[in-house]
Amino acid sequence: MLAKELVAASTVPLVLSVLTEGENYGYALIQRVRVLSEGKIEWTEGMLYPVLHWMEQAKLIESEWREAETGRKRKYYRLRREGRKALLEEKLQWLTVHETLSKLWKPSQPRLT
Amino acid sequence: METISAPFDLNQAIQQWREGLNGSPAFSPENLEELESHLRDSIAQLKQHGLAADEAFFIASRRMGSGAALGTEFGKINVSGIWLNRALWMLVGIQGLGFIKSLVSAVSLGAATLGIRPIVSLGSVSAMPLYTGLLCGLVHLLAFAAALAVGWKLLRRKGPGAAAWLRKAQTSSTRLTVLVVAFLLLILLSPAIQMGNVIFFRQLSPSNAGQFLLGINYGTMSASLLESAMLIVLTLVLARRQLFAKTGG
Repeated sequence: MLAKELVAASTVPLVLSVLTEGENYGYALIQRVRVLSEGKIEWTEGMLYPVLHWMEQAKLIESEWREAETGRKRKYYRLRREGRKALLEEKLQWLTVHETLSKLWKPSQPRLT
Repeated sequence: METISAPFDLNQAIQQWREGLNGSPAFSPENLEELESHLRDSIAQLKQHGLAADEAFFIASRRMGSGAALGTEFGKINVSGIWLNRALWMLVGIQGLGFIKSLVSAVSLGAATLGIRPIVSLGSVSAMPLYTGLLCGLVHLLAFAAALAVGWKLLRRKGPGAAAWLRKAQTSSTRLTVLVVAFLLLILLSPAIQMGNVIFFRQLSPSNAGQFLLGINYGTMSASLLESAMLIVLTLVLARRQLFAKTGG
C-alpha cells in the first residue's frame, strides 16, 4: 500500500496519464489505476471527484455527460492541451525522483567487483 | 441466521445515501449525480463478483468514503456554492424576521382594537392609553416570543431537513408553487389586519382616537425594547453553542 501523501501527490499525474489512453469516466479511471498498480494504489473513491473538478477548473481536462451503453448517464473526462503540457512537466519531475533514487539504490552490484 | 424482515431495496438505499449527502451545501446536484453514477457502477461490479445487493451496497458506499470527509473535499471546490447557500439563509432570515415583525405588530394592533371596543361603547376615555398600551404590548411580546419559539423548534428539529426541502424546492415545481402561494398569503395577512384597524380607527371620535394612538405607542415602544432584548439573548445563546461546538467541549 502506498503512503497517503504519495497517493495524494500522484493523483493528478495518474489521472492525466490514464486519460492519454482516451476519454474515460471516474469509476473506470479508478479501476484502471487499481489494475495497473495491482491494487497497491487504493483511492478513497469519492475523493477522486473533487480532484477531477479541480483539474477541470484549471482547464487541464474537460468533461461531458453522455448516455452509456447501460442506458445510465455518465460524466466522461478528456484531456485538454494544457493537460498534456502539465503531464510532460509531471513526467519530468517524477522521472527525476525515480532516476535519483535508482542511482542511489543500485550500487550494491559494482561494489562486489 | 438471517433475521432481516424486509427485503433489501437497492434503489431506496441509494436514494437514502444520496439524501444524506444532499443536506450539505458542499455538493452541487451535478456532483451528487456523478457520485450516484459511480456508486451504481461499483455495485454492479461487486454483484457480478457474486455479492448480494445489500453487501454490494455497503462495500461500495464504504469505498466511496464517509459523507463528512467527502463534504470537506467537495467544499474546497464548491466554495461559491457554500457562500451562496449561506447568503440564501441570511436573506431568508432577514425577510422572515421582517415578516414576523410586521405580522406581530398587526396582530397586537388588532388585539388592542378588539379589546378597546367595549370601553369605547361605555364612553370611558381616561383609562384608554394605559389599557390599550398594556393590551397591545403584551400581545406583541407574546406573539413575538411564540414566533421565535416556533422558529427555534422547527430549525432545531429539522434544520438539515428543512434545508434539503428548500434545496429541492428549487427543482420541483409543485414545491416552488406551494412556497410562493404560502408566502403571498402570509404577506397579505398583515395588511388585511391593518385594514380592519383603519376602519375601526375612522369610527372613533378625535379625542378617543388620540387616546387610542397614545396607548398603542406606549405598548409598541416597550414591546420593541423587550423584543430587541430577546433577539440579543437569542444571539448570545447561539454564539455560546457555536463556540462550544468548535472547541468540542
